[in-house]
Amino acid sequence: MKKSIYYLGIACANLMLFGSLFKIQHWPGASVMLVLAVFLFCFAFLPMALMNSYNEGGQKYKALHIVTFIVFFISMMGVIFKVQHWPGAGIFLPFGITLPFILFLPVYLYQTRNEKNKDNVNFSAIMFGLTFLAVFSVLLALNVSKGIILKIGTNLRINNEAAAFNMATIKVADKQNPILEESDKLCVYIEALKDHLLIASDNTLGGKASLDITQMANMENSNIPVHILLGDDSNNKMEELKSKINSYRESVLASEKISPELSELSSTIFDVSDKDTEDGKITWEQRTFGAYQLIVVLDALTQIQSNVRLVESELLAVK
Amino acid sequence: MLDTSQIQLIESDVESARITLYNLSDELVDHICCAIEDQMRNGKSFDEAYSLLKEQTGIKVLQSIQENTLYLTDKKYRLMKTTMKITGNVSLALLALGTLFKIFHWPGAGPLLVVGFVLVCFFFFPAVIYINRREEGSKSPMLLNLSILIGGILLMMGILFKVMHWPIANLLLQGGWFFVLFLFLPTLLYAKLKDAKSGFEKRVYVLGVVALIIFELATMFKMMHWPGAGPLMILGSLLLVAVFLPLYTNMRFKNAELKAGQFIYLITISMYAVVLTALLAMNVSKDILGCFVREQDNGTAINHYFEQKESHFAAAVGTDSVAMMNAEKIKFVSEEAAKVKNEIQSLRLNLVQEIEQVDKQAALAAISESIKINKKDNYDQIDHMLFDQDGNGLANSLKGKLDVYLEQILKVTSSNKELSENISKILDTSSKKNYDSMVSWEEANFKHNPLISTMALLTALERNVSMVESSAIQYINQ
Repeated sequence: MKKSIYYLGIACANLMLFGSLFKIQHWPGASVMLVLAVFLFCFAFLPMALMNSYNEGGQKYKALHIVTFIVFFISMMGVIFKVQHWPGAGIFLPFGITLPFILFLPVYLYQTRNEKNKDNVNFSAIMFGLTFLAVFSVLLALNVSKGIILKIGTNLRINNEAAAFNMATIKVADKQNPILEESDKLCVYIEALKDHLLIASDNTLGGKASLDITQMANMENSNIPVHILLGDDSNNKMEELKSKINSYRESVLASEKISPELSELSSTIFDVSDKDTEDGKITWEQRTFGAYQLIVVLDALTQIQSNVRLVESELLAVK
Repeated sequence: MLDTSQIQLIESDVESARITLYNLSDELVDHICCAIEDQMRNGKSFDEAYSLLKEQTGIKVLQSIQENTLYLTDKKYRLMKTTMKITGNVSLALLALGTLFKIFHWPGAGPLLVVGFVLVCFFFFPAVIYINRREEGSKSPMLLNLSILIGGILLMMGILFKVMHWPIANLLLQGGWFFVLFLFLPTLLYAKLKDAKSGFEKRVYVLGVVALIIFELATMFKMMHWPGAGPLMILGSLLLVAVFLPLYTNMRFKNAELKAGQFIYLITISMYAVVLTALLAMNVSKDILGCFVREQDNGTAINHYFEQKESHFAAAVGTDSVAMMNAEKIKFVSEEAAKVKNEIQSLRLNLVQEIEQVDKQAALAAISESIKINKKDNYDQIDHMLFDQDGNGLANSLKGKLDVYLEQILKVTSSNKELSENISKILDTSSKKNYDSMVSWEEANFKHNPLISTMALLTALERNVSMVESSAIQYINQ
């Protein structure tokens, strides 16, 4: 094997590695490295190395060499199209995932069926490697892209804006109404809970809560929210929150001027009771906060605030 | 006649040819001795006769004799090898198809994956290990094969249980990792160190196994959602690809042991490992989509409230003297709001119908009970529907409708500055600065947005439109 091919192969693998690491860290230059790695692999390394292998006594396996090129060319191209969100990824991907197993493997097994000499390509290694590939790609079906966290951030922002809008519509003259104080109390309590979560999840904040969605690592942390809200040290925070929401709902429903549709809405959106599901009884706090990431928990809490402000403003709008 | 030291030389040579079948090595030694004695009777010395014989046969021939013997004498071995090839190919293809079906939400993914995993775990994987052990012979320790067999099956079953949302998935995975991390990898290192020819080779193997351990730990941390998976993954893949791979291949390259075929295989597998790991690291569990289901249902309840409120209000206008006075204006606001809300509703319905491939009735049911939506995570088609080539598309036309609505509402509320500002703020659709470039409202909100979160977003927009409408009407009625 030629030295140039050797260097090319090592370069491809390392470009891929650093491209992926940069991508995970959101550092600039990731895309360039990934694209370069895949293009070097598909257009230089793979054809050169296969030609070399063919000329060094691989003539018997002509079909295997051709199939290897086609399969891994398509597969790697599928990867780069998907990672870069290029149009057409959807066409490449199905072939990329299945071709190594429905084309490469049968041809490999067929062409080497009488092969006794294990020196050339190690049979067990290929089988183990392909198993790893198949099993690992199953895991991909379990997940969605992390970009989803930004979308939850959008939700959260819109809920905050809605709460601010409703607060601003309340007239000074209305400020005698007891429901105002109740709403404020509940929202302040939730705000404190949110601050507590933020500070506990990020020790760089130095005791001051600030919401930064670009801090992905913190936003997808699911241990601290679960620990604080549902864990042994939670000091029954959830019971407290639930009883506060319950009593808020009761006082809203007890308002004399409430319209039937508003009381229906309040009963729905402030419903914190347990629910029966296929997996048995699930409590409201499990449904809403259980095992979720920080951003989801913050969004859920903000949603309650936004709901409180909406009901408050609707209630006060009735003359 | 041969003396003991000569026979020992032959025995050790046969052993070095990795002849591990006990009877076969004895018989081969016997056969070689006879052949040498034959030659010696013709007047040759032992060394001459032995080197002549080695030239004629050589190690490769001895090995192929072993394989042929294995093949002929061992029916079980032959059966195993055939089983392995067939089940291997079928099961891996089933897994790949199952993954594909799962990603694209086609029906039948579950059975494909279950059958694939069962075949891999209980037929293919044991057969590979059996064959491997037979070919490697007693040289590979029993613990090595046993630990990877049990560990591998537990891990694969764990992944299957996890994908199918069956209980005890985590228990299986943890058990699997225990076997792989604490039994298999140390034993592998021990076996490799025994084989190593030089101190440098030993260090390379130690490095490789340590890198593998870190890498495995990272995968475990990631799947169990423990903190620290990211740094471990970076460290593990750096050690594996940037340090171990060049050292190992260079070592074999220098010894001229590295064949092009093997090298292609190593590079391809490393590239896949890196990409899959990176993709996993950049992903979060699909459970997170539950957040949007909650948002969507909450928004639906609120929008339902506004609908009812409006119809009650419309019925009451006739009896309310103030409302009668302003009937014209109120009608104007309601109509403007209805235009936008209809646009949002039909867009949402359209998206659900297109992506779920269902009729209007089923789509409406899915909107009010969003947990039942299948392709919650589809965003390709949404992008396609909402954005066309030159950036106009449905998202842009929705933005236009919202802008018109804002303009019309502001005409009514213009005398109240505070309210107008408030309304402009909540209906703001201007482009925002993101890092260095301007990102349009529709790009920021709708690009690469999966179905379920697009629905929740549209529902929230509808709610905001209703809120603005209701506050404007309230203002008019004062």
